[in-house]
Amino acid sequence: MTTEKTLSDNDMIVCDGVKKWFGDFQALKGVTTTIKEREVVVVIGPSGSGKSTFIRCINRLEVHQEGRIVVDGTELTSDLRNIEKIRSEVGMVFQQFNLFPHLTVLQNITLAPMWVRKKPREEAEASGMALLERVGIPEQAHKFPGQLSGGQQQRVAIARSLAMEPRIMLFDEPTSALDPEMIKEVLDVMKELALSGMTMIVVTHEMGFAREVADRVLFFDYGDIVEEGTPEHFFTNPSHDRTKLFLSQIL
Amino acid sequence: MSGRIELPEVPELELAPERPPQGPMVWMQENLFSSRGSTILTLAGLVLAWVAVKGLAGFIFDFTARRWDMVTLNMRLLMIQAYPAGDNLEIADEAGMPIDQIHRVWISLAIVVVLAIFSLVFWRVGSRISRRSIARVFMGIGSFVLFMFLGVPIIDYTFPFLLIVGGAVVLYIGFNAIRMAIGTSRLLGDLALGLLISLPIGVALILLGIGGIDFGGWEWQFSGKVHFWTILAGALLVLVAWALQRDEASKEPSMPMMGILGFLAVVVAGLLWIIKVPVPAELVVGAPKAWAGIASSTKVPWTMILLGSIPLYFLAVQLRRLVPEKTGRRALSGLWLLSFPFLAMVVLRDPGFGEEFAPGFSLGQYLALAIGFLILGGAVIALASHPSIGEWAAAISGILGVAIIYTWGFTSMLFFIRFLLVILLVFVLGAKTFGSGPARNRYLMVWGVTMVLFTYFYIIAKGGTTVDVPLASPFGGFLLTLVVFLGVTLVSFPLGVILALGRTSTMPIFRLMSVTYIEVVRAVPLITWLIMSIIFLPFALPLDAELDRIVGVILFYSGFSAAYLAENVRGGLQAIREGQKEASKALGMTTVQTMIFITMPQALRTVIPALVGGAIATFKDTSLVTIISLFDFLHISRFVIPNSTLGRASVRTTLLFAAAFYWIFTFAMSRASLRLEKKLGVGER
Repeated sequence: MTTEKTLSDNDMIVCDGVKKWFGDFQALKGVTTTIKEREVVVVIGPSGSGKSTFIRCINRLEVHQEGRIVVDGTELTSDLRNIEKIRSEVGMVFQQFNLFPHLTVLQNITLAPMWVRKKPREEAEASGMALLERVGIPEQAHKFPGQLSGGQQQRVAIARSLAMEPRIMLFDEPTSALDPEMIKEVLDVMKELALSGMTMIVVTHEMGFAREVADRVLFFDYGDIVEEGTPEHFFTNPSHDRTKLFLSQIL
Repeated sequence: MSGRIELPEVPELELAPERPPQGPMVWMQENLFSSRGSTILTLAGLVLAWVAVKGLAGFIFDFTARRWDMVTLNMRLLMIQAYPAGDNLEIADEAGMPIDQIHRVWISLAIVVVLAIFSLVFWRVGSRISRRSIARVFMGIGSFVLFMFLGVPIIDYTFPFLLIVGGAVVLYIGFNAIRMAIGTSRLLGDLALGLLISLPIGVALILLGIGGIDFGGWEWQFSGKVHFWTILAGALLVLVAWALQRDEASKEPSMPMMGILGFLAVVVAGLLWIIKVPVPAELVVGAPKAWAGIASSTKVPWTMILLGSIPLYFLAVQLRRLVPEKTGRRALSGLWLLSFPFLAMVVLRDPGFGEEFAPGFSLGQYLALAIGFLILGGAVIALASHPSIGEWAAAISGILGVAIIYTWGFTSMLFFIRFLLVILLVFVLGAKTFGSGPARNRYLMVWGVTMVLFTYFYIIAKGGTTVDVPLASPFGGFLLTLVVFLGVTLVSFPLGVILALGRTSTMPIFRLMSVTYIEVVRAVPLITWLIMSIIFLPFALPLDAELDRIVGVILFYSGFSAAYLAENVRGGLQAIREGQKEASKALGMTTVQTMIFITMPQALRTVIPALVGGAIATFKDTSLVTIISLFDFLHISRFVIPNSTLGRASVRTTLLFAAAFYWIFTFAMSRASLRLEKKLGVGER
């Protein structure tokens, strides 16, 4: 089902019939969607439905086997330079934070700007501190990640991604590993980011966040998009039975 | 900014109730005799320990039967063997041996001490040590010594015991008097405590020197006295430990580590001048033993080093105020790395120039080549790191790669050029990642420094030595052990890391080569490799100069040790969670950057215990070099001294000395690794 799409100027991510297998198991069954600049897309769905695989394909942490993914005008192929260019423009926040435990918070943030963007240290540190200010924890700059709470760690992880000045941010269940009282502090940061006009794809189970911030909701099941629409449409009037069942279980 | 979150005020916390200090009786009851089972285990353990050590202790301190005089007489042989003594007979030691080259050893030692002191200061090692932990160590050692040596038969009981009891009472009262008098002043209190702590250590050091003390002609010369000193030292240790633990009045529960060390340096320097060691009365077979002071060729340099280290410490402290800590640490790390080749090749080996060079060697040729490479190579690197170079960087690396394969495999060429090409390729490959942007000038500077250092050491290695080499190698004794150990550690570490990367790489050729290398090298015994190092080195590396045997040993031994190191590092690499690599990649970092900044530091940190274990094994296994006729420390203890005319029947004594000496170094290494582990453990998960 490779329908040819025309690229318009503000298409950030174009996925066309993306298929992906893990061994014999098919994780993605021809995902086709387009994400526009400044759009906030929330991806929901039951576990094992391929939503994480989908966003991991977008910065090629997973390699899709069929179909096309074009990110900001560059197609993802096995060409290493393309991948590194795209990765430096696409920030990613993980469920398990994945901060570097042997570096301080500030070093976590300045490492990539210094070595990938080739910024001088002073400049990288200044913008790193500004980002820590933005996520609300400048006083933690010289601590190690292990000394921070989960919510603080995730905020550092967001700051670390933002330090690369990405055009797109991917969030892979950013609040799933957090205690309930820390979820809000991370969601607040994400909301602020969405309001500032960042293009975002967020895999999450936080329906409140989806309802409040998302421009569009994608519902995944069995490796494909079952239903998509605005939050109002999605939460009040879902058309697909599978979506109704899912919503009835979690709401 | 909606993300800003104010932290609520933290409520005041209650302090945990202070545990009253418990006496030794309570401690023993709680830990040694808490139940019937533990009582039996304690008693059985004590009996076993006593049986095992009693005989040995008697052996060590039986002055008439043991040959400690052979250890003290041959101390220089044990440490540096026949390190070129020089031919100026005007400068000779007490025994009439020429020593006009020996200052090279002392200079090396002094350089190491200087580096060590600056490192202690810049890494702020052990700034304060808690009194409780001093007390614990003292209590342990002291009670062990008392327990063991009170069980060994001694000649005269009454007098020593009176002295012990009397001395203990006097010391205890004295200590309390000092504490009461100056208890309010921290500095003086520390000083008094430092004195008290140094005293038993000093006594223990006399015993390490294995001798008596000369109190104005009143010499103590028989074994009962040595035994007595031991017991006195043990009693002192226990006493100080008890006093330290009871010292509740002091609000300062720790002491300055450097103060203790400095005090110790003074005490040891003083002891060097008063203690007497056993020596043969005359240099003839069967001569009775006598006591003699330490040779001035030993005690003068040691005193200078020990006393000089104290002003040096204060100098280092001043320097730390002026120099940023990070810069200082970097400079020191670099100096430590350079110190080994510098000391081994320049200070100790003293390269000769002019006619001392190998035949056919032209200094001008090498200098011209080096300068040419420095400039042309610099230009190539500058080109490769230029932002607009793009694909051409790969072309430059390709051309260099072909040139390297050609020069190494298909034509005969100066090894100097072959090595230079390899270094240049490494720099060109790294240029894009590490040398572009603001780092470019620094990268070119690193290239320049590398070139100068490499050329310097290469020319030195090519040149002969002006130090007269009597045997296969100028190094022998403990100096040889150290040189082989440090050389192997320095060479095998990068090699092992590269092999570990190859073993875990996704590139099939690289992986196959690493796996093959590791499996082949590990499957052949070390002794085989050592023997092959002298027989096969000319085939493996047809270097155009005759190499010191020790170079071959270090190369082959490093290759062997790197295979084991690689397996250790691989374990560390595999322990790193996939998420770390993913996060690094998601930030746009290349595979090489991910490896250098993210995976390798973490992997190495997790395998520190294994790496230090490997280093300790290497240190001990250096004794195997005796198999290729190098005169190492153990070989001298085992064969050279006992086979000398004077040294008959001294093998048990010298072996015991060798074992103790090895133990001191390996134990220090394992403690250092514990410290390092704790220090690096900061902030881990």
